[in-house]
Amino acid sequence: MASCTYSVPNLDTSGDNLYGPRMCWQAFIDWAWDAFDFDKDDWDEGFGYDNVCDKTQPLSRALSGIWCLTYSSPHFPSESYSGNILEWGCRFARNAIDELDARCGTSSCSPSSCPGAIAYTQWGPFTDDLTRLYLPFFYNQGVSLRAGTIIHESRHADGKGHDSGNNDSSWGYNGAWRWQVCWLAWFAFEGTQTSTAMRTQATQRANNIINNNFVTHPGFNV
Amino acid sequence: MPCQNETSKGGGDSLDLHLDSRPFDLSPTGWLLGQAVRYLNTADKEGEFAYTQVVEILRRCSEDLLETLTRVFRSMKSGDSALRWNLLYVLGDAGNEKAAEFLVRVALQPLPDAREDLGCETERDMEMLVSTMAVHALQKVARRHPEVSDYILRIVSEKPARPILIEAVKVASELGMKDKVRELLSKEEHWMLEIRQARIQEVFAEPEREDGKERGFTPPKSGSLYTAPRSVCCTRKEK
Repeated sequence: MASCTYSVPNLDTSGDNLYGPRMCWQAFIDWAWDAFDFDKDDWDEGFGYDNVCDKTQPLSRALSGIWCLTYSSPHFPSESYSGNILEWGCRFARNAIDELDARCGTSSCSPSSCPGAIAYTQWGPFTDDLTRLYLPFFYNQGVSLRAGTIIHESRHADGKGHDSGNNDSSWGYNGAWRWQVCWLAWFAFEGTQTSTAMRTQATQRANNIINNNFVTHPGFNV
Repeated sequence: MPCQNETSKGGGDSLDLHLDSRPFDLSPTGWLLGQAVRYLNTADKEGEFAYTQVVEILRRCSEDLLETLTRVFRSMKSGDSALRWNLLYVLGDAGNEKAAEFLVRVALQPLPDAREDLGCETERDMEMLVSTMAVHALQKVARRHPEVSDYILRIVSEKPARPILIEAVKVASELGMKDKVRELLSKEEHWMLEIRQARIQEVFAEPEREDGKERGFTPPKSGSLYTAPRSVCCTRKEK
């Protein structure tokens, strides 16, 4: 067991003032808790189990990402796989992720420094399948980027790793980076109930991934 | 392979909260800046309109905008990337030609080292996003103040990390400086000039699944989609 500290960053710019009140809805919390297999032991001790609607704590911030992943498509409640990834992304993620845990990952996170990994997924035979979210996921990413990270990790949870270090060899590999790009691009294009900042961040993050995480550049930006 | 990172295996971790300072309370311009980032993060037309109004006031009345913004920006250092990204967005809309130098410095700020052992996404990616916003903010400033357009070429000539370089190449091309950029790039980098804007329909992921199987844990409907009758009150007074 590790101990860590955090300082609360600006709640407007992270999108938590926009999405926090939406996730604070008991029917949604009940559903998400089961659908993503949260466990009390992974979200107590300061991570928010005792105050789920507190926007400064990790659990609320994770649920805001899940709310964004669930309800941003203008076609909701359709989650058809014949639609785009904004439509079926949540369906895929909740079915692929075995359990969603919060961990420190780094000893501290504050507005002056928030280093380290954002998330991690392990899977495979004779492995305890799980997805872990670390402090930078909660405190150094806006809500729409958190949703994109959950899509990325769900692709791993489905058994698809990267095929060139932490990168994908190509767009055609159809790996976690492509899925994250597609979700972010569709969110920016037709995501509902969101802000200019969330959309623009999504577009820029999608292009950063295209320009950085494919061994063979796909030749386009979004 | 998965992106690697390990913490303790048994039980949960524990976390302590510390409250942060209020960076926008230092001056009238700081307060206006705070209002701008607040409205930039609202999801309605009223918020968008209020944002344009605040930006207009910042443009006309805040001589100390750059000074105030850089003070807040520097206090963040390498955390709270979302706040720094938002500050740059506002500077792109409200800043004058004096902002160009600062935006170039942010765009060229060295990124944390790429460490494969840490995981797929790290703080390097968040710093990359901040630098990307600096490039696009500079584009917006250059559209209003064409005399600073050449600052984009300074970014290209410094050859930052590839994603930042590509953003600068795109922006310079959109500002009509494609030929100058071609001269600054090596032959091996000329492909960056040919990156096209994809139509959204081209950007699709193959789910490798079909409808008809178990959908599992269907999300609750909300708002107008929720058509069941609502209970207005929960108790009835007995006489």
